[in-house]
Amino acid sequence: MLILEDIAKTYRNGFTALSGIDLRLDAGERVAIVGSSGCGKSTLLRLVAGLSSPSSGRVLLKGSPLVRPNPSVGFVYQEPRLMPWLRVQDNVGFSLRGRGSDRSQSIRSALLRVGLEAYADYYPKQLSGGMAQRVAIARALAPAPNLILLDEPFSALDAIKRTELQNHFLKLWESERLSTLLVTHDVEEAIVLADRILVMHPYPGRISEEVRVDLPLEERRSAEGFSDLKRHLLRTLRHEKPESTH
Amino acid sequence: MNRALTTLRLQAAQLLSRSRGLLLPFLILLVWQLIQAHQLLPTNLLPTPSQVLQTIASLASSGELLDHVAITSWRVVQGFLLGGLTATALGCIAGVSPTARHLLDPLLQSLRNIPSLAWVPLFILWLGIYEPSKVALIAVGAFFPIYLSLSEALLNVDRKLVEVGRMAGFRRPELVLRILIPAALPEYITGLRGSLGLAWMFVVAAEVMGASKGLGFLLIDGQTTGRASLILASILMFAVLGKLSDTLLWLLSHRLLLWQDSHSLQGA
Repeated sequence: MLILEDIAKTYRNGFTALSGIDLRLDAGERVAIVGSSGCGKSTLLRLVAGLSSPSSGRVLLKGSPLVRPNPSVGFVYQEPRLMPWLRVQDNVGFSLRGRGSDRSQSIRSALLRVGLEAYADYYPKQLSGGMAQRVAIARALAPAPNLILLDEPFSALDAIKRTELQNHFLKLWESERLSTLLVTHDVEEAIVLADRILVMHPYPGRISEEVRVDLPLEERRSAEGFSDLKRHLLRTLRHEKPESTH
Repeated sequence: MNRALTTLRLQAAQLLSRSRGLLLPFLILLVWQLIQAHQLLPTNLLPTPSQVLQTIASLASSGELLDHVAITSWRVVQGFLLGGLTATALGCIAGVSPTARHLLDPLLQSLRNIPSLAWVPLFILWLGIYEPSKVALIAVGAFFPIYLSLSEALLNVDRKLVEVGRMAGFRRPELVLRILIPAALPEYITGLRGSLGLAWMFVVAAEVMGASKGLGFLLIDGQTTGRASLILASILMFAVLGKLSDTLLWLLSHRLLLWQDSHSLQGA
């Protein structure tokens, strides 16, 4: 589905944000990238989105190089980023081409999937933060993307709403098996939502470890092995040798 | 029954709160009338409000008032449209294309610093003393608020929203139409209202410099014939027309901005 080959990104001021990134994401797979802020994980996601281009290396989507944003890639940002002048339904249909019944069908189905079909006529100002983020997810789902990119999508919500939305997203994934690339600094979120976790370290941004999550899909937080995995990841993030114990 | 009463009470309260703006002007008129009833100041210099109203009434009954109001309003409309349309076009271009902005903006910003009345002799020389020079002067006045607010608003549109458009695969024209322009609309409308106000200011300047009709002509007429009531009548008419046209513009535009999350629209 998605292949990154030896990606590097150096800005004009000489700052190297990413170096030697290789990544492979298969269809239906969920990969999380965790790292502290400034490690380049958001930069990496923008490269995959086609919003910026790498200084060297290649991004391949379904075998063809990705050089500009592609309609088959959906993006959910940290903030909802809804157009305040559009009603919920038009925000959801924002990137849909074409008009008429196909369009309204796609919008209705996307709203149904996030449980907001009753709010189609609302303006963004009338929504709570959690609802607005669900509209943003519906907007990313509406064009039926092959790959969905999530940039800390639930970090602006309170703990209860965050868990609720994570569970909601899991259900969605279970029924649709969307290929997902999630960027987060929240280790728990990565374990709950991903099959595979890549740990990134900064200066320059690189992938330093890969961890497979062998936990059941449901109720991962209470699964055996969750806290071990969490501890391991946190230690890795702090640059400690994973083997060392105190 | 009870509900009808509540509705009635609500309507009365609404009416009251809407008419609050009339309270102060009314008080001022009352005090003014009372002072001049005792002729504290010579009435040929400061006529009573009732004298001013009488002047307006007699102008109205002879049909003269309508003529003056019509010609002045028509000048404002023409100047506002000419200046406004040019400003909208140039503001759009300068707000959307960096190249155009680098070319246009320095020139326009320096033109803006010329006192607009300095154009008067040139416009009269070029366009004559009749309508074109007046319309041109009003257009110059109406141009800048719209140009500035639109180009600035377009430049300041949230990068994050634009990115959503880029992710959707939008090219430049689509980004402009579907994100930049709607996002800039509130500030653009504020610019329009500012421009309309300036158009009314400049029509006075244009008519004072030479006209045989219009409210500005009444000002000069009142001055040369020593009738303060005529001057005040004309000033009052400017106040009424300016407020009316602004309200009209607001009525036309506020439906476009209902989406705004402003505290003054709570519950609207």
